[in-house]
Amino acid sequence: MNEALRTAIAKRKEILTGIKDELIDRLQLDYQVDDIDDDTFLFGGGLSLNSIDAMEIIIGMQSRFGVMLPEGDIAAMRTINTLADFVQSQA
Amino acid sequence: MANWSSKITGYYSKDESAGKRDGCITPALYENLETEYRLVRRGIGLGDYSYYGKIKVAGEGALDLINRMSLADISRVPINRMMSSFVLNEDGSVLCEIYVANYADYYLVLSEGAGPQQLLARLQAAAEQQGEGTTVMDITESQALFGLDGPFAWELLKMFMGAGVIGIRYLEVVTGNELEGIPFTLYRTGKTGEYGYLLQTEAANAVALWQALLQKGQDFHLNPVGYQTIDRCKLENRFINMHQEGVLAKHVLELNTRVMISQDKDDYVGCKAVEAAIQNGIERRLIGLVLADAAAAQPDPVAAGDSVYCETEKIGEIANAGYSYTLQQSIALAFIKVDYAYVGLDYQVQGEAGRYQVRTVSGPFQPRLSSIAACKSAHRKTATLTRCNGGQYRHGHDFFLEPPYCRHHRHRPYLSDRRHGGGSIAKYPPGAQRLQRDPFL
Repeated sequence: MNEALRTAIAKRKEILTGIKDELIDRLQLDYQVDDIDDDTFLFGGGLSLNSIDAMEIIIGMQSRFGVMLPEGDIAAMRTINTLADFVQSQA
Repeated sequence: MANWSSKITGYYSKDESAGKRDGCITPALYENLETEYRLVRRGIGLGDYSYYGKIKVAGEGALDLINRMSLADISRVPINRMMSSFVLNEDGSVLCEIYVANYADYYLVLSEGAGPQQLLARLQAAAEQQGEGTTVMDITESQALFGLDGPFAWELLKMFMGAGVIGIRYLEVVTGNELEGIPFTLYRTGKTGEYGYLLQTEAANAVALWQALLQKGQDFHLNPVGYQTIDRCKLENRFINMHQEGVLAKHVLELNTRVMISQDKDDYVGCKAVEAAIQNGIERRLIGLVLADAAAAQPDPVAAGDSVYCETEKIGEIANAGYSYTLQQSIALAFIKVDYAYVGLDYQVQGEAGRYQVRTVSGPFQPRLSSIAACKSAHRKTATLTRCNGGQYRHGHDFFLEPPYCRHHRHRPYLSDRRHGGGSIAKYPPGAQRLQRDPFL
């Protein structure tokens, strides 16, 4: 693994961990960070969140990363990874 | 149980050459993949899911028995709800995927990925060990199961079930329904990213219900779709395909199923292997890939089993692949070494005809939940189809699915028949409404 790849992975890991930590804390999820896979769905299956939780996610992303998810941007709230994509796209 | 044909296979006079799944002869496709795919994405696809195993477990020990087989904790399923889970082998690999529906008096296990007789044998053996008080009955062939998938699926159901249909929650079970006197049970499910429902009825009523749905669904472009179509939609939306990545997974946790595991659940088949994997970690996990390479613009450039490389190091294998008609590019799922399984990285896949550049991407591939949900991001108010030309809506012009209420999505090429030489007329019931909500909320 070359240095550029190692750096990219480290950066992604940091964001993913931050998102999981924020969701666990804000939504009081009964999980540890390691319990949540990066491609875990937020709604429906996976974490089985609901529309009220969606608002908390928006607030959490703003609080933790300083990014503003447009209300109703469902595509960015599909999985942990899509949230990370959004955070990285705003950096 | 030898191979058997569903009633719908017989209705279309199909034989084993049309397709077979879990021991049931059932068409892989009714027309062609692209046509059927577009039906699911913009109308309604009617699928025959009768190949699902259907096993009824009743008695005092029913819950314990199923929980002994299930990865997820079934005790959390309320009455008239269902839960998705997996049945594992002792080594942690997956035997089959299951839905468990709680009917209060009994549980119904719907299975996919293994012949129902395999799950039946396990359940019966466990029931014998448990002693009296639990009965296990295979009703696979005596019950038919149909799927309705598409952005208009709820509207079709509303026509004969009433507006309350939209209040049915994801994984809810609704009994006591009828269509033209044919009783059926409705399950709110779906693995295509669109609104999805399963309808269960007695096999003796299968053809009558199928015909009634075809007739009722004419205005919504409802047509039959085969399992290959559903598989492609599943791939785009990252639902696990038990006939591809599911069977290729060496361990259930490779499928990103960690949140399914309950810490306080009693022992179950595969429990030790799962606990060991949690303790020691897994070697690889499933991640999405898109083939950005122009050289990959050919049918099926990569296939399951092809190797994934990071420079010269082999880091994984393709588990599932196909062309996304929505994204208009080849997509794939691969089991990649966990240290490399992160999004936004460039690797290579060695296909049969050459080596292709790929990029790891987030699941799901399909950026939209449904055209309805996509509209939600652009608009806040309830959308109503505007009638034109006496209640007819014209494909490929500014009326079908997107505009007039969603001018933001006019550019979507797959939604425009005009760009595919179409231009047919679709009728919709006057005043038909399209909901703006997430199909999974």
